[in-house]
Amino acid sequence: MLFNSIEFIIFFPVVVILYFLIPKKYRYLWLLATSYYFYMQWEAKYVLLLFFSTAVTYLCGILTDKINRGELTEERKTRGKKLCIAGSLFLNLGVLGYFKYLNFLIDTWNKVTEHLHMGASFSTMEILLPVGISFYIFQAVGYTIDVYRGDVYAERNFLKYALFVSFFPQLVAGPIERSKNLLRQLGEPKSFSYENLRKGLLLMLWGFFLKMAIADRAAVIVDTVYGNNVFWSGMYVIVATMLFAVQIYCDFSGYSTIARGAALVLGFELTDNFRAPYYAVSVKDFWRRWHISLTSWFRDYLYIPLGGNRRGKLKRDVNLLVVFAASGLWHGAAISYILWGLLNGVYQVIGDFVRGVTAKIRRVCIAGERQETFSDRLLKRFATFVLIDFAWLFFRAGSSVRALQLIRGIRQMDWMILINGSLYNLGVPAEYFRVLLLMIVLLFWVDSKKNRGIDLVERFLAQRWWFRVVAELLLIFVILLFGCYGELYDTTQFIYFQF
Amino acid sequence: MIRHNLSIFNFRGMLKILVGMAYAFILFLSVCRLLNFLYMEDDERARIMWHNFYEQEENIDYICVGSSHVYSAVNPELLDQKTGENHYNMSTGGQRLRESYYIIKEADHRNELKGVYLDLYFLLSIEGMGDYNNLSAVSGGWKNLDYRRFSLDKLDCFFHLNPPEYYISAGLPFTRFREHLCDHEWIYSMQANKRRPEYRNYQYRWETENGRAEYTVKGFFYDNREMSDLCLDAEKVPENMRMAEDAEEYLRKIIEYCKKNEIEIILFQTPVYKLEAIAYENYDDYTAGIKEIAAEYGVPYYDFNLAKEEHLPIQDMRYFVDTGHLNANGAEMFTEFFYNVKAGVPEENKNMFYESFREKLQSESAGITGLYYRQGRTDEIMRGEIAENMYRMTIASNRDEELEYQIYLTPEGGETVMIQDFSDNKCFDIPVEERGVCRIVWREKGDLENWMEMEVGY
Repeated sequence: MLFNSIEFIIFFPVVVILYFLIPKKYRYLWLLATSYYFYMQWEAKYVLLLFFSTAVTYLCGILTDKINRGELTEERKTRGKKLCIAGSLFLNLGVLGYFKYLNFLIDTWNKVTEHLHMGASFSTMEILLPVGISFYIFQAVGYTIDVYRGDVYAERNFLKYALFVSFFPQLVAGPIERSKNLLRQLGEPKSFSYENLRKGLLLMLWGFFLKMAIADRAAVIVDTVYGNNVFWSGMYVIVATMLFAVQIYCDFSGYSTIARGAALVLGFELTDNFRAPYYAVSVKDFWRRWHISLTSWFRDYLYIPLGGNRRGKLKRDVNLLVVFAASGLWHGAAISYILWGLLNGVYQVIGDFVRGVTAKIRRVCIAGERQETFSDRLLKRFATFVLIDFAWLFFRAGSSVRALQLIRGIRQMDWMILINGSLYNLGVPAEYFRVLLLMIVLLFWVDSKKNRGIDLVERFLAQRWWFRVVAELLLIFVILLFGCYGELYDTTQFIYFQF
Repeated sequence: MIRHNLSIFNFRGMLKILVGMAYAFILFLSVCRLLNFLYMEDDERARIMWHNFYEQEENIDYICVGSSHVYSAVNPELLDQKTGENHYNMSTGGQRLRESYYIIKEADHRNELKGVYLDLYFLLSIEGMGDYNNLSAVSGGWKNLDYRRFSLDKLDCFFHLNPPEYYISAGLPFTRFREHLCDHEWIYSMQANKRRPEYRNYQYRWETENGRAEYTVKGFFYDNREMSDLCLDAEKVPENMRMAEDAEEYLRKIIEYCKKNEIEIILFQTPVYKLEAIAYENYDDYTAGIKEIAAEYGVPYYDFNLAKEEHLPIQDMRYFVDTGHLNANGAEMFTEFFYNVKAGVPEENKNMFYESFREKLQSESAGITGLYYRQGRTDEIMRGEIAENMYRMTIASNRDEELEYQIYLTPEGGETVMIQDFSDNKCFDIPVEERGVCRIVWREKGDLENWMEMEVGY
């Protein structure tokens, strides 16, 4: 069930109304049932995987907790806990590996053996990737690590814990919630709040706008160009790649915003996954603003355990590259994703080096600190966007070979297509193209406020009722008139569902 | 900042929310109406049919349901005169059986319905066209939603006529025309049309040098033009003529509904010009399938394409507008005959019909009716049987083997060329963009003295 489907428009109000009508004590059971139903709409049998991951991490948490409280020596406690966490990691990552990476490994092995003329090849298997598997497994594994570290107590109520892993608004594409945030909230009884309802619905509406009016409309152009890179090259690839940056942002943040809104209507606050990422002044800054829940997961559960930045610059850079390669691999089982991740890692390593050098030069040449100006920030933002967008090319191309083909094609530049109307031949008519650009301007305006720490939702809700109604209806009609839906378009899945 | 929390049982708070939602909803509906007015292109006949249906003061006793060739063929006013009962033609263009089912329910819930005449036009019920899984089928049904008054039946119909991905387009008509959002000419033409007195007064009529047409108050479309084209586009002809699963399901539902509610039901097939039935090469398979279903339920089925010439001498171009639609004269003749059949004894009625279309063709003197054409199917092109971008033209003959044909083509601006001397081959190919005149000379095999000829524009 997609958020931008009629099924969800019917499903969600039913869930909310019954949720608040059921006695508080049993509400989490209703949410659990609806969450499993929501997941089963894709492929019912894969709910067993969700249950398996939930059961394994739950038992691991309980065992770890028991060991912690038991009267054992510290050494035996540590060994027991390590065994538990290793078991949880092995089983969960094993499931993830089988469903997501086995064919990639077989394929890579076959290519290597073919290259070396070894002839020991295996045939790939027909495995359908369960939707959202990377998200819920990371969330569940994160919980076991938290219990292992003693950051949280193990949840005793299995059903409540099962809800934590399967909570439907964030089940299939995050945000990857921490047990400290979501599990704690699930334990507290929630009352109906009009304020939450208004805020939640507004967030959902904004999410639908991002997804249907911007992301899916931009996707038409991106798919046209990336679908035939022989015919569309040069400037077309640059325009399409820039639009892909907008598409993936609106697609993913659209989902996250709908998820946050839906959870808020039910009384739960989810992590904000994005903080105006294209206003970042460096690649490092970008990753503090993009997919925050995943970045912080990798930081806390991989980068820091690897040593973080505590063991010298070289080790820090290696750790950074390992984390970003892993992040690329998390996104997809293909070399192009690893390259995309590594490229982002390399940007940061080089960025740190350049920053160090320029700081030294400044110290020597310029006495005192210079105030950063608007033009400095503008230049940094532009440079960061160019670097990030170049990396997106690898992400969107789907294979490293195609990515290189596209890059080679960029050399044939024809600047005139920007003004002679050729861009209107990419599947989006002229009027819609102009409206798309206007909507992107609106998006960046909203993000500029967010970047300055202004809560536009609060400001909006503080306005007079007539203004709110008119603005909300305007947004609805913009979605209805410019959004992608219905018979003329395939309902585009959220890009991050595939991860 | 959370300013106030409301319990679900705080009625004052809930009232405030509900009033706010009602305001927003009313505003939403008003904007939708405005956008519909600005952008929506009406199906005028469906609009008038539904309007007049709700305006009927007397109880409607009998309805006729089916597609456009039924609203051209059955004149309810003639039936009223003959029976003294109130008939109403609820046919709409391209109406499929799924739509017919919900139309019958609506008519029955608003009237004490005595009978239903259900047309089973083969083109809209065979596999492919009769399947309710493509845009043209689904969007074809919207005209029977747009003008219906709101009721639970309408909601039921809405959810059964539309898969979820079509809900927005079905429920909010202006969204279907959103590609015209900035098209001033479109908006202007819509406004010009909607400001016409005829539009406002639910009238639809036009006149050309070829004739005059008018949509009457009881759903009959009067059209006095005469058919002139004997070259039929048979692109939609399927490989087999079985009834589609969806069409059969709804046919059974309709029969069961009528039986349950004690409504008389007559299944029938409006006559088409012979050329069309010949073009659908396995026509008898389709009609045999319906006969089986009709026999299973014990309801009458009359295929008027099988009517004997002495009872219904309608196979003449003077009675048709085109191969699928009767004109006013044809409708008068057909309605009269329909009434006779309906009023007659079923056993005796059998004598007025042939058992099969093949039998009917065999009973006629050998001859040809025209030409039909289609492009090659993918497999035929792959096998090299028909070249790409060529039309396979076929002579519509009432004999398989007894005749032989000589074919001449005169392309526009070109010279006449004989492409086939006397042979029993009925097919030839022409480029899709070519236009011209085809002269066919035919004779019985071996008869060197008697021959006939026909000229057909293509």
